[in-house]
Amino acid sequence: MAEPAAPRKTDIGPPHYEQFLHPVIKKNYGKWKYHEYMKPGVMVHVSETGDKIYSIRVGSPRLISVDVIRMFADLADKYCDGYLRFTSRNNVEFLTDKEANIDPLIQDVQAGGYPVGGTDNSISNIIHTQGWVHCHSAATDVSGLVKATMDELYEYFVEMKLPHKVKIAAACCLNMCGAVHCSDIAILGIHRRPPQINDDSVSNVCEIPTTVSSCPTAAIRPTTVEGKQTVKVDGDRCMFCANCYTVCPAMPIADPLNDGVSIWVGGKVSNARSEPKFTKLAIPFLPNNPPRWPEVTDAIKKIVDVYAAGANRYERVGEWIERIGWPKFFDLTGFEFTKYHIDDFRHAGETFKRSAQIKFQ
Amino acid sequence: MRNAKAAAKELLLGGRYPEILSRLGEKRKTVRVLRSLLYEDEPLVKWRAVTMFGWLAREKPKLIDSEVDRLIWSLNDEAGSIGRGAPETLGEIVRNNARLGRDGGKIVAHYIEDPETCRPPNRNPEILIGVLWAIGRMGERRPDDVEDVLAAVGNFCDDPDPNVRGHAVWALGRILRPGSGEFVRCRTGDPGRVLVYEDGELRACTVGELAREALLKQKQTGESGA
Amino acid sequence: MADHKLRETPLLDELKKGPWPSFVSDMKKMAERKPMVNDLLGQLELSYKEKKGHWKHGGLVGVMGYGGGIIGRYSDAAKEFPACAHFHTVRVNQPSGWFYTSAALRELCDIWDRHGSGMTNMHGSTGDCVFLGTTTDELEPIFAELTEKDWDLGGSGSDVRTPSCCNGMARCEYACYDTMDACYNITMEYQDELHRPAFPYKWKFKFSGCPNDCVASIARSDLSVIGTWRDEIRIDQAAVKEYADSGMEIRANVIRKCPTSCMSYDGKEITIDNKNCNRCMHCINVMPKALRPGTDTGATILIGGKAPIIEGALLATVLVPFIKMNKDDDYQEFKDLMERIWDFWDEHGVNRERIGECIERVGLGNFLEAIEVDPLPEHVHHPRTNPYIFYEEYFEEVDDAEAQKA
Repeated sequence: MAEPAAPRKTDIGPPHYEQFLHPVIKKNYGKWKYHEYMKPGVMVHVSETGDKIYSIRVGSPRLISVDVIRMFADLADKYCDGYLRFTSRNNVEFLTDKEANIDPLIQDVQAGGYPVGGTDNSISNIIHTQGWVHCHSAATDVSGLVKATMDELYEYFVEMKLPHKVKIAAACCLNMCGAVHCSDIAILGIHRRPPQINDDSVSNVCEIPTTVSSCPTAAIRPTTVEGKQTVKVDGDRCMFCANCYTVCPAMPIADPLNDGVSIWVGGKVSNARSEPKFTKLAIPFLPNNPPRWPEVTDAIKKIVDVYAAGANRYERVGEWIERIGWPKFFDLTGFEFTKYHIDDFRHAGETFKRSAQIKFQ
Repeated sequence: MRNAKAAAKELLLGGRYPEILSRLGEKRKTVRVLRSLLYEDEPLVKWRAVTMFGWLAREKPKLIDSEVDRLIWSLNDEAGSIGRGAPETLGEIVRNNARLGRDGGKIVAHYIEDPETCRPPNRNPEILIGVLWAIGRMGERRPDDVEDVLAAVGNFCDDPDPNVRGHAVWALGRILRPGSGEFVRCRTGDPGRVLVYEDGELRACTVGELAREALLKQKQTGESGA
Repeated sequence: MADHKLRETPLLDELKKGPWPSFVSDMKKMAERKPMVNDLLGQLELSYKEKKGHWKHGGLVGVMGYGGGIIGRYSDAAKEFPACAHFHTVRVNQPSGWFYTSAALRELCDIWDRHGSGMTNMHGSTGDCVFLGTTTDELEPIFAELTEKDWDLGGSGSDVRTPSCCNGMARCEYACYDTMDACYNITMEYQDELHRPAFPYKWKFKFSGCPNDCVASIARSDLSVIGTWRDEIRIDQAAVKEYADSGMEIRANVIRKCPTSCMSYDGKEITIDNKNCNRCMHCINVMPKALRPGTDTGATILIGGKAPIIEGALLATVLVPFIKMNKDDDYQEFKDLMERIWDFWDEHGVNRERIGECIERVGLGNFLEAIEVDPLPEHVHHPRTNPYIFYEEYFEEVDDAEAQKA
């Protein structure tokens, strides 16, 4: 209610991007002709005018301090006239028109503990969410999962030796703030037990009809416990999405004993060759095993290894699996195929096989 | 949207509530415009938008039949809704149309006990004042609905922030219940300044004035309330 | 160094090992001068020990006049970790394409160092620059200093979320429209909708310059704008020869990978049957020196992409197969379309229902009719396979005698 002291600046929007563009980029805006990968992590874009801009891509944990950002800023000053950007996968890209600056920049970046790579047929940075670091609904910690996974896959970031690019995402719950539903490989935090219900507080903090209707499987019913209006959950119908907890804080679902991680494969957003596709379930449950989640990193390494060995050039993970067939995928990875792999939510029938075209191993 | 918002603002300031629908259309887009005005810095515009929701609850309930869900969600949203104006609006809807308000009144009232919203040290004074005001408005019509939070409201009568004290006193003044008088009586000499929205206008006064008016009102309405 | 006792974090310390840069090492350094980060590490260590998060549900904090941009967060272990009892997040609207100068980054760092934990996400999933962890009383000072330097908050709650875009024409030859300009223009146009949540649920815009869709707009935005072209792929046959001479297996890696088989290669030149090309980008991706999108460029608009909650994940579906994203008329055609879509959403959307779910419930055909878009074969994979049609028109029986009288 207090009045502001000075006139308040609001609704000004972000600063205009033009002031942040390298002069060569500004000059050649819309005139780029082609690009090439000079080596892992280094691209050159060539303009119709003959101008060139070099991009040096650097992996980052995304969760970074102002000191790390200042270090990047110092490097940009030293080698790039102060120009840099971040990518949609949270890499840092240093931008310079001076080819001679590339190697010294790379040396300094690596000396600072940051890897150069993530271009073309590599595993680029993992898109991820907040996890236990900052989120209230997290079933796992993705910063740690990502760190442990990227340690394991490091060689694929700094080299370009895969059949095609592999994009990995990690999300700490089914809200999927990361693009888990459309990545080559995805890590997803999950719950496995229905929410607990704080009968004493449900009616004071939650709108009961809203809570009931929040459930996609109609598992929630209104009820009365010791004279208090509350809700009950039909455990058989609950698929642990936690949407009820989102609308009703009196229904916490986190459960250290049962929360864990599921692994998904074969999604993509690019339209190249095949249409964009969703990820599909590879492993329904792996335990939460911090600090380094060995079961998860082993499983991902396994997927990458069999993909690297078996896929054709320019085949994304999903395209490779579609060519060899899902039975072969489970055979090659050794992952168990279970009833959980068979969809039973909306439109599940669309995923059933309805033909006699079967490959026998 | 911008034009509609400017028009609605002008009509709200002129107190021409029914005209808002005739000018902007009896459609939910107009409701969106009004929602957006709940965030307005100019207090009278915001408060009149609250009143407008009460008017809609009474006159055109179908137009805002999902509003209670929305408002509660804006208070509960874990993804950064701030719920600005939500308690007041919920209170005004419940006051004017209890059926439409569903459990909204009870939920708003219980925010008074929420440690992150209304309790020190974390509390959000703007939401707290909205909750107090809503309790007053709802309680005036249906005191039973807010009965179990009255003690909590009473505890805010000696809050360090005069606006909070004032709104607590003001709320109790609307709700004629045994026991409320005690909290109010202690504040009759309170010189703290408060800005309270009453009868469609913002009123600047002291906490003491509000306390004295509350006691007078209780006396006039009968000793039952004292 | 630190005048507070540094937390012991044996589990997290395991994450200091290995070649990938460690957020733990970074945070440990920050913990020396930031008690908030020290306690955050302590709480995170507890989470690692217990396998359980320690943040409470929600928190109503913000800056005056805005309904979004700040995510309130409180610890449920505040007694043990008082310095991170409040740990609110500030979303700062990033510049188009995430381009910065070192000076701009230092400006943001200095503000955040003065008023918060000093930890950030560069960037959040929606695109914002995210300041991670501060207290309620720092919010207004942060906002004042940000706006002073021409930065503004991003979206949160049921509003237009911060739009994002790929680097487009700034550094990509594939860009079929100016994604950075479009993103900036739309962000500015809808400032009110971005800062004051008034929709049934969140609304995300994402702008990709070509069908490679580097910002995952088709999966992650309610309104996805993907650059495309209508005319012919430009071919530089000399460059084709260069690729062949350098050892590229053009038949195996380009021609046979074409999903519509619209290309051929006679050992010298590539020919393309452009009428059959579906703009998938594969050939252009493989041979960027030789092949380029055409010059009659624009975008395909798709609607309704989202993650699973509530009714299941959706990829966005085609709404407008081709639109000129015209800067000169301020994207008027696009904005007119948005107004019609939002009018529809106002009328038909229910609380916490994304537009994709709303369209599934109401029917794509009805939605198109309501927003005045003609139904097209491009809207579907194939026509319906069931006969359960909601016919809306039929002939009335005419009574001959009555008709004659009239």
